[in-house]
Amino acid sequence: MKYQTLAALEPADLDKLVDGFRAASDMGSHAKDKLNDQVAPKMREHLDGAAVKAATAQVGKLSDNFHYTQVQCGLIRTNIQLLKEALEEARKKLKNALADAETEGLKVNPDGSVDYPSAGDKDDDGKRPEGGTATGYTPSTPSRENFGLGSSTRDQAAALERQANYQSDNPKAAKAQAIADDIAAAVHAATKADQTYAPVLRRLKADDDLNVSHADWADARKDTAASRKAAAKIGADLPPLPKDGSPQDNKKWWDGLSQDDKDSYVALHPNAVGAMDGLPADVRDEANRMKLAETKGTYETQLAAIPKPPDKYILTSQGYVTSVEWEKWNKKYGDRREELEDKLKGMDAIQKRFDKTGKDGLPEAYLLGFDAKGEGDGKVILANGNPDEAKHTAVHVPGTTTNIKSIGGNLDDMDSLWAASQKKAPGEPVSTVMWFDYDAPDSIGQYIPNTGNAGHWAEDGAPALQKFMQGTEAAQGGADASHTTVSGHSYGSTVVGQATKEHGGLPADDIMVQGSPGMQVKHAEDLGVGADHVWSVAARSEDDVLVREGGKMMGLGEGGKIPDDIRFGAKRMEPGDHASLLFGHSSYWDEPGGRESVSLRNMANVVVGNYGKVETMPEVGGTK
Amino acid sequence: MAHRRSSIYDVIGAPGPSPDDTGLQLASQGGGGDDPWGGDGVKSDKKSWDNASSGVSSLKESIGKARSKMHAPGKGLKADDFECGSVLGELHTTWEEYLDKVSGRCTTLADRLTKAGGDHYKNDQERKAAFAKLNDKYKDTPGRGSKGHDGGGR
Amino acid sequence: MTQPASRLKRRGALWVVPLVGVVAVATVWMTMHEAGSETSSGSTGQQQERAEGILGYKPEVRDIAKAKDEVNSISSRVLDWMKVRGSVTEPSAAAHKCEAVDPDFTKYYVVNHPWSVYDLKKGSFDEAMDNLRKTLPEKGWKITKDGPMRTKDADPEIVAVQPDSHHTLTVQWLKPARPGRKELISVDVDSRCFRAPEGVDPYSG
Repeated sequence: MKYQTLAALEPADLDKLVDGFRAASDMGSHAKDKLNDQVAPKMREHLDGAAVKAATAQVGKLSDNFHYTQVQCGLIRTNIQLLKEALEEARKKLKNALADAETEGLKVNPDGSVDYPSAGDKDDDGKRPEGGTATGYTPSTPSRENFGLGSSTRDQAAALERQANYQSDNPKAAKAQAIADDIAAAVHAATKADQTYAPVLRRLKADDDLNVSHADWADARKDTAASRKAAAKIGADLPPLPKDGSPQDNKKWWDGLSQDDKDSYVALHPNAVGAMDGLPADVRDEANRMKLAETKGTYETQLAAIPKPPDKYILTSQGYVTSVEWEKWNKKYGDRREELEDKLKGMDAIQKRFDKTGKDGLPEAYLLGFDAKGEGDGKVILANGNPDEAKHTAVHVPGTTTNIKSIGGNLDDMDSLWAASQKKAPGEPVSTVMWFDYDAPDSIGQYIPNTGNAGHWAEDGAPALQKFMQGTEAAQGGADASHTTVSGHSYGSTVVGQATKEHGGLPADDIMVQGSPGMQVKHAEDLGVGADHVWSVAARSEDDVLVREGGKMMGLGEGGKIPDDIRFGAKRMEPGDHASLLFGHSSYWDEPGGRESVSLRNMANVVVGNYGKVETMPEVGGTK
Repeated sequence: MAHRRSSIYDVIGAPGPSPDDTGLQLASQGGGGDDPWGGDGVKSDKKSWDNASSGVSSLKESIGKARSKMHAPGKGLKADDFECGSVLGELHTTWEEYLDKVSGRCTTLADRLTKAGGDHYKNDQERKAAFAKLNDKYKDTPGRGSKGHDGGGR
Repeated sequence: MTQPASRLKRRGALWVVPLVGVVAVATVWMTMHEAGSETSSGSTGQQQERAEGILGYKPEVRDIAKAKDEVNSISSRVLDWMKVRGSVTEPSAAAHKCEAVDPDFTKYYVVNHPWSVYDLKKGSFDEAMDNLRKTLPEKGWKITKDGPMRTKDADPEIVAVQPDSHHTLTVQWLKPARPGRKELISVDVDSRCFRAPEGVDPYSG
């Protein structure tokens, strides 16, 4: 870039562009929200029939156009903003150098070199030191002006000359050299910014069709990565991400950022922002929805790239056998395809929940955490209703076998809990959160028998749960902002119990567990919320008995005591009799015949603090 | 499912008409006779379709407002040795086009939603087909490869 | 629910073996259970046989709208029998899965109507409950439960069954759960499982 060009660039012109793309991105966000949170839900609530489904599907596709606009224009805005800042800094340096030249009476040549006159003390022959031209130093990275000469040769020559000028007897020489160097540095920085951002910006041209395909989202992810690289390359000046801070620290950091910086962070670091406990729920949701769309696009693209399998069976003289071609294909692609399909199933389940908003009053979903891999089985944290504004919050930890591919069932359970709870506390916003961010044991058989520490999954997962709860509390505005219940099903309850033992404990008002195999503590009062705020429910079915007794045998309850034991001291809730003799371990959220089961009703009453409405089991020979 | 359930909030709290003292008070007018919960009834479906339609077409205004803030890069940013200058110009052009198309999509969808609420379609199947057909209108074009995977000037 | 504590002391691998065996069986059963219902397979007769085996009765074939109307009118009558005036919640009867027989909601359904009466303007909750206690048997309903719920609040609950139509009525007088919450009588009218007429899919519509 010629210095004249840099001098003529008006940062204000770039500001105008920044404003334009910011407007487009904000508009995209609001439009998408309007369609997702108002238009489609109202249609689902008031209309029936097959046409409605097709119609809301079209609304969803239109919403994708706005989401795409939001993401891409947000990225463009950030990139132009950072480009502008780099150019502004370079331009300032240039202007100062040019002003100096004027003050010193030195002529700046079109190529950026600076002429200096003869000046200084006369020597013995009566001559003053000669005048000359100072050429600015440019680093050896090739630039447009340098082609033709080997850079190292040029550098050597330039270095010698610069040295001479700085040490010259002509005082003007040194000044001229300094000015020339500044001009060159400014031009170099500006050129670097220009050349770094041009390809990145070029990637962000709008698509030429209105179908936001999986390839488009996969590209969006690459665009984000490219933008991050560019920012790092030019040393963009965003306030650094907090490292290993507490959720309180994170909140403080975020609250201290300007809106522009917040937007830039979401655009450039959606993964980090989405996972940061302590940040507002709507920010995490925005970031994670971006991540979800981009991940889905990437996985779908990868899945589409896997060739179709050949026929598995071929007829031979020996009858049907597995074909060799298929075996080859399966060896190469089988596992990978299954993995991609499983993860996509989970992502579809999340989308299904988004599409359910409005049905029977179901509130907006907030995706507070998402990762296809997570701690191994995937990571999904989804809230019904905004927890930052809830009067009653329930955070639920699912148990054994939980996996992103089957996460739909867990999400449905929290929908049921939300509906049952909200109607018991009208006017007091309720939020139920499904928290899955730990490596869950893959089967009950995995910890029965167990030759090691059956509690290790809980020990590994507990810190993350604690941090999430602390983050929720911080984002809500403190411990008194909401009545909070932490819930754990099956092994999830073990994680909950373990989390109460973390340094600092678990910020909760009530703890409730379903089908618990043990909570790593001896007595309800050890959980830190008071024994009369600990609630346990256990289905009378065989499979639930197995889980509970199995856990007890494996030492998941300290001193052999698990929540269903009277001596554990928890309040034991009536499970109802809707579950079958064999299968009841996952029946707690059932709505048989369309109405809440006894177990669901009891859990909902705990969530909204209606302690007097919880049906409890008769105590056998106890003093309670 | 053959039912319509309005918001679960309505145990208490749904803003309803002022209480009359003839006894039963419901937030909506039910179907028939002395039965306060007379059948599902087709309760002003037209209104719901129309609301959806106006929701969608209101977005055109939002797009317009955003576009009024989007300007092509001025002369000061145009120079042969400022590569971003021309790229910013291309960005502006493509996004103007895109938003224009999205606006058109809003119009089409809003129109179809209004028709769905009126007598335009004979039955639910036809209504459904009308929306499904929109998929054909907005197919993916492998075309531009607008992402500039050429990597740009470097 | 408690097992003899002595048997489950942590002894050694031996105790684990039979437990693992049972778990294995349970896992197999659970997988089979999740593999989907067989409702759609077999003739109508076979499906009905299967349903009878599970439910203990053969579901009647009933038009869905009629079944809902029936429940709605039961609700109206119950409201009348209470002889109070107040606000009533809006949603009407709805059809749901008959989960035990047909979780895919292809042929069988139940009708359920949950509603509440609150903000009484005439009469009291106490009177409403007493009126029901008196009137239900007069109208042919059999009261199967009449007493406090097993909760700290010990709210009164009446459960009644209609012996001919087999509908179940559950009435709970819920005192305010917390200061500021409303007092209300919650009513649930539930039907038994029905079978949708030929050519009708309870899921659609």
